[in-house]
Amino acid sequence: MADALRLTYNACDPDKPATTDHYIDCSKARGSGVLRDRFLSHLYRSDEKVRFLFSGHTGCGKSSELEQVREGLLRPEGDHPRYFPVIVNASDYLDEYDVAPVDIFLSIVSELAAALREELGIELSDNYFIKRIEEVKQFFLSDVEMREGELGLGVAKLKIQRLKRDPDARKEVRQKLEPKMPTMAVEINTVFDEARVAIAKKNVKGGSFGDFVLILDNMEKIFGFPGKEEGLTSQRELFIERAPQLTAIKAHVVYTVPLRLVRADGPQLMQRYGVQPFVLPMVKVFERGSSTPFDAGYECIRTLLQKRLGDLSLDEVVAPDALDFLIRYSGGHLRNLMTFVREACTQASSIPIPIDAAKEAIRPTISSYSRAIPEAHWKMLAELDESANQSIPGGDPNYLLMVEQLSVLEYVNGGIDDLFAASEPWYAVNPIVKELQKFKAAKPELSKVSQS
Amino acid sequence: MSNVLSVDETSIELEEEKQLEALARSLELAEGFALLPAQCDSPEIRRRLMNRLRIRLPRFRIEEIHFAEPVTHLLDELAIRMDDPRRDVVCVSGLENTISDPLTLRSNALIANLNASRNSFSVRLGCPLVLWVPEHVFVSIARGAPDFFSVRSGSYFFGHHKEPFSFDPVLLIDEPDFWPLHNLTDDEKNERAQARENILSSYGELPAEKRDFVAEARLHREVGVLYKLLRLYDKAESHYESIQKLGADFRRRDMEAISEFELGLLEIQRSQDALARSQHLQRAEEMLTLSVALWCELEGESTESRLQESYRKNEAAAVRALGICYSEQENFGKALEMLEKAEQISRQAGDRVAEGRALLVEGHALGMEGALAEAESKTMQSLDLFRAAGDRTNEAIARSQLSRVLGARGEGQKAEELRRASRDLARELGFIPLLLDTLEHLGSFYVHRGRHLEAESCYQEYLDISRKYGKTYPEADALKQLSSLYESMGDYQRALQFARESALAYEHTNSTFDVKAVQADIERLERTLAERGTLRS
Repeated sequence: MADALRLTYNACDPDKPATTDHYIDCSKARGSGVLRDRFLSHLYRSDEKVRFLFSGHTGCGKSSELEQVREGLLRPEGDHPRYFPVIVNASDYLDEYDVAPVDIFLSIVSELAAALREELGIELSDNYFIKRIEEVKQFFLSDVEMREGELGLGVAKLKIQRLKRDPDARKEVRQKLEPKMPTMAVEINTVFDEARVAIAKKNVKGGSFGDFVLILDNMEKIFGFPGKEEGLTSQRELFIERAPQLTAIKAHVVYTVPLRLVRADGPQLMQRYGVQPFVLPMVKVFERGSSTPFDAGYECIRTLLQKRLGDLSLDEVVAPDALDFLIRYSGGHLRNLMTFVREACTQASSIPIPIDAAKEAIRPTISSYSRAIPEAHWKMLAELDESANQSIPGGDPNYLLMVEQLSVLEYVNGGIDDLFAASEPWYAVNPIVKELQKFKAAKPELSKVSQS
Repeated sequence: MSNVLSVDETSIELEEEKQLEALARSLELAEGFALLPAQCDSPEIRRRLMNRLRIRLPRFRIEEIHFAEPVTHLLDELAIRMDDPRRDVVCVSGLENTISDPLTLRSNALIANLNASRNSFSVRLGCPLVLWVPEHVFVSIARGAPDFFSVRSGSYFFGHHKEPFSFDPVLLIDEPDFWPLHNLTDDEKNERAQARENILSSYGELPAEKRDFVAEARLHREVGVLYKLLRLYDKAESHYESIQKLGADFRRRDMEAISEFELGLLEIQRSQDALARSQHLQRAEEMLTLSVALWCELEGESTESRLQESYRKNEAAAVRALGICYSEQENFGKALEMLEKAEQISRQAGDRVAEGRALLVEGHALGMEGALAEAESKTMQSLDLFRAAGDRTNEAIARSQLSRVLGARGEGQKAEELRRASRDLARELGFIPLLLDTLEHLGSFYVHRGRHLEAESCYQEYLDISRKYGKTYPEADALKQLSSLYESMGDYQRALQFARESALAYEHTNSTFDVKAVQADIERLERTLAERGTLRS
């Protein structure tokens, strides 16, 4: 029994994206396509290098979807070519509150060189970037390390990552390299060419690779650009104003972008990147404009949890009413669900986890929402909940902030009957928020206003 | 329009007043002969200034002599014409009727005689001589009669000084995609070209199905640009031809069109450094015409709108390049026809930056033709488009061109302000070729106004940045400009030293044209110093 709780606790780590063994296709419940299929479809058909924008709520399952892309690239179906995936986890390199394009370029080159070295035994030797790193290494290496000689590209990764935690070094590095950014934007492509040829020459188990694909994960978490107000203004600066620098790289790239930016400036993003952002919505657990459960969504989440539990039976581990409770209050947000299940394991003394433990499990989340939502939002949340079509005014910064802070969740119906209605996102107040006293108080106030 | 372009007539008048006062003081102080060249392009302004000078110096007997016909010996002619033995000063004008073509200045008899008779002026004239001359005569005397010029007691500059319109077309020729390569030092260019050649060689070793011919074509193109910037034209040509071969091997006519386009641009660039310019421009015309035809064909045959759009953009670039080519051939009618077409194609394609580039080049062609008002208007239109598109590099280039147009229109003050703004923007953007270009031009602007110390400071920065960024050709040019500056300041020894350094630097640029030109300067300076008995090796 204790083993079952421990296994469940560890199987539902909210910090770990689903591996292929745990992944299930939730596209019908999400109302969107599968990222892997959509991206690979572009990749296999395009004569040019593919740029792909990917977005979604924090914790909605983006990294799991990207993991699937990685798998699809490594093990293609049919006679499609293999691609070498390079996942650049922005969180390993970048301080989310202070990011400039030069930091992103350094992280891409370091990660590419490290991945080729570690996984394919290829040493990149591009002199331009070696020289640039030589010019700035004094700012992040110790005296002993400085005496060790030239810092090769393939081993620079961990040292470059130090910049994330050292704002002074970051400033110095930028000061030195930013004047060279236009040239770096051209020369990074020569590094890619060197990598591409080396990959093509390499005979590896499972068949050789045709090219590589850069997956820039966690870029959507970037919140601050030097000299710009944090939040949307900084995100605009990086992803829209600096798009010429980010898109100068001639490689297949998946960029993760903030959902708030996609909803505020979708057309500009499309214009700059030449592609419509692919948004991963929540798993729908209730119908639009009502509290009626959406059975397919519940079923999808149950299957997903069962996959994570492996040989353990989900029904034996969680009581059905407790599970439904957790799914309902997750709002289809998978990371929240994982957190709830973990919390429930700690609240239960035996299996199946009872409803009381499930209720206790969401208590910390209730508390955090209660304190985090600004006063001005309550009335707006109540208005959204009351509205018939559950859409938000385009570009409204308050609602966009609510989407970012997860007090409002985005859904898509999907299906093929009515293309326009099926593709249009709709928004619902997070089920936990709906239970809070301030929200409940705002609703009668709203009805008083409308009556008067 | 920004404040930079606002007319500041007051400061021009103040400057003029200061210059006139300085001239009057020189005349008061001079005992016997004193040479006082006064640069003024406008006869009307000269007449007005003479009236003010008479008011300022009421007791002076001023004898004015105007040469309406060509003269070959100034002193002899003055001796014949002067008729007031009690004169306090002689003011000469009309020498532009003898020296009309700035290109033949150095072989002009009048200039040669000025130098030869330098010592006789003080003996035969006995009073100050004010030479009212337009800019080109002023420069020709400074350069062609350095001995005579060196005895001047001062130089004075009046009126809206007009400058000849010139703008280095290199920034108009190359496609913006490749501008970052201009920022590399010459050593880096060599190294980056080599790195790409290594990758290309690795590609060549792969079986056909694994090759990426699009990437290979791009690499050949970049290597071509790098070698072109290093003035290694044959190497650049070989890489552009490789694109053609790739196009033939893989049946990609777009690659052939790119190859012809780059080869055409290469020929225009070659013509800048060559004595036989017309041959290169003729070849450029043929190649660019072929490139345009290929893009048109591809566009006509394609059914995919994405490809059609791409072909149209490339067609616009090729038509624009053809416009530059005709402009360089001084066939301005044809040039403008092409550039208007490029402008139209870009506008239809919704490519505002390319439309701005076409307008910018139209402004350049009109400036070269001498249609300065239209040149200003087109350049302003391009500037507006670049600003709207947030394209600051093109904005800086447009500002720089506009400064040249205004300079040529005699709007010196505004031109200077714009030139400074363009320099500052180039510095902020870290766009080294434009920064060097604006520094060079600002230096030349100051030279023409006799503001030698400011000119020296500009040229020195031009030289320092050239050296810092390992730019051999600009370094050689900066040394040459400093040599000319010191020559016009009468410091021949220093001028010779810089000319020799310049010659050494030019040796590394593969430009025989410039080597020959600077050798001629060295010989002239050595002759001058030998005549003065002060030549040091």
